[in-house]
Amino acid sequence: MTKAYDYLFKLLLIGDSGVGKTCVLFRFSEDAFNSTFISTIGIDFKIRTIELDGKKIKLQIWDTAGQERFRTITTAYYRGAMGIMLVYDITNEKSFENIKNWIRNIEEHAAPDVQKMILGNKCDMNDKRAVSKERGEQLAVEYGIRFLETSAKASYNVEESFYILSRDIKSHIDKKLEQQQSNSGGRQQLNNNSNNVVLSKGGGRGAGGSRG
Amino acid sequence: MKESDVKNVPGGGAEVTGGHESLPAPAAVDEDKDGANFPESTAEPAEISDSVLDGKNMWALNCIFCPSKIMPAKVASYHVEERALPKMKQKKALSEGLEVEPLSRWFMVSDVMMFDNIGVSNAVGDIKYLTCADCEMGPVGWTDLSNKKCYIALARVRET
Repeated sequence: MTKAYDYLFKLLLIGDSGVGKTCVLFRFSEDAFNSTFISTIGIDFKIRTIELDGKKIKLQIWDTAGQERFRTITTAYYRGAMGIMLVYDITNEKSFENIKNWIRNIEEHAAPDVQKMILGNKCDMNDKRAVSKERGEQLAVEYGIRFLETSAKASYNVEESFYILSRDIKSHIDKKLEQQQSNSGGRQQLNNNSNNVVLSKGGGRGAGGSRG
Repeated sequence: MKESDVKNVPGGGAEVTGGHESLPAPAAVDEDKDGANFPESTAEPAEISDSVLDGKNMWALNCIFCPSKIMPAKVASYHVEERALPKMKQKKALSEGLEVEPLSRWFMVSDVMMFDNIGVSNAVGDIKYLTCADCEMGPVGWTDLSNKKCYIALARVRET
C-alpha cells in the first residue's frame, strides 16, 4: 500500500481582486475551461501534489474567490493556513500598495509563524507596468519575506513560487519538529498538538521517523 | 425556484449556501438513458478490461482537455453505480433546469488527498463536485461529504 503523502500544506492566495490569483492556479492555459456548471457553483479548494527532497507533498490551496472585495477575510479563512501567497498586479499600483494592508490582515488573523511570499503577477505586461521590480523587492526585504515576479499567462515563475513557499514551510516544520524532539529529551513525540500538524499518513511514525 | 439564487455564487466557503440548494445532487438514475451523444465525454466503454486491473484503475487518469494528471494508476477502486452527473457544458441557463448525463462507471478513492491534482467545488447539498485542478473542466466526478469518498467518472477522464 503506497502512502498518499508525507506532508500536507495548507496554502492561501491573498490579494486584491483582478490581480490574477485564480489564474496562478491554471498551469497549462491562461483561462479556465468554460464549464458553465462549475463556474456557477465555484471552486472551494484545489489539491496539488509536488515532490521535495524525495517527499510527497500535498498542497491544499484556497483562493479567496472574490471575498476580498468585501473585506470579509477573517480568522475562519486563515485557520490552519501554513503558507500565504500575497499577489499583486505589476500594472496596478493600488494592488501593490494594498499588499501592506493584506500583511496587516494576516498578522491580525493568521498563525504568527505562517510562511509568506509576495508575487508581482502579470510581468508579461511590461508595457503597462506601474510597479518596478525593485519596489517589489524592497517591500519584500522590508517584511523579510520572499518575492518573485510571475506571469500566470506565460507560465513564468508560478510553479517555482509554489516550490519555494513549500520548501520554506517544510524547513520551518522540520525545524519545529527537531526543537520539539530535543525539548522532550530525545523521546519520540507525535506532533499532533499544534496548528501546523504534520500529517504523515501511512508513514504513521512520530517526529523522529518522519525525517527520512 | 428563484432564478436569482442560482447566479448568486458565494466564494470560498465550505458551508452549503442557499443559492445552490435548488441544484440537484447526482441522484440514482432509473430512467432517461439517452446517454448516446455527449460530446464532452468519452463514451463509456462496453468492456472495462482495458481500464481495470485487480479492481483498480489500470492507468493514470488525466484531464481530457489539458495535460493535468488527476491520479496515478492503481490508486482507485472500480465502482459501478448509475448516477447522473451534470453536463460540463450546460446549453441552457441553470435556472431552466440542470442538464445531466447518466453515468455508471467510476473510480473511487476514500479521501480527496489520494488525488495528484483535483479541484473541489463549493458544496451543493451534501456533495461537492470534482474538476480538473488546472483548467477547471468538470465535473469529472463528485465527493460525498458524509463519508469523504470521491468518485471519478471513467467517461470524463483520459487514461494514460
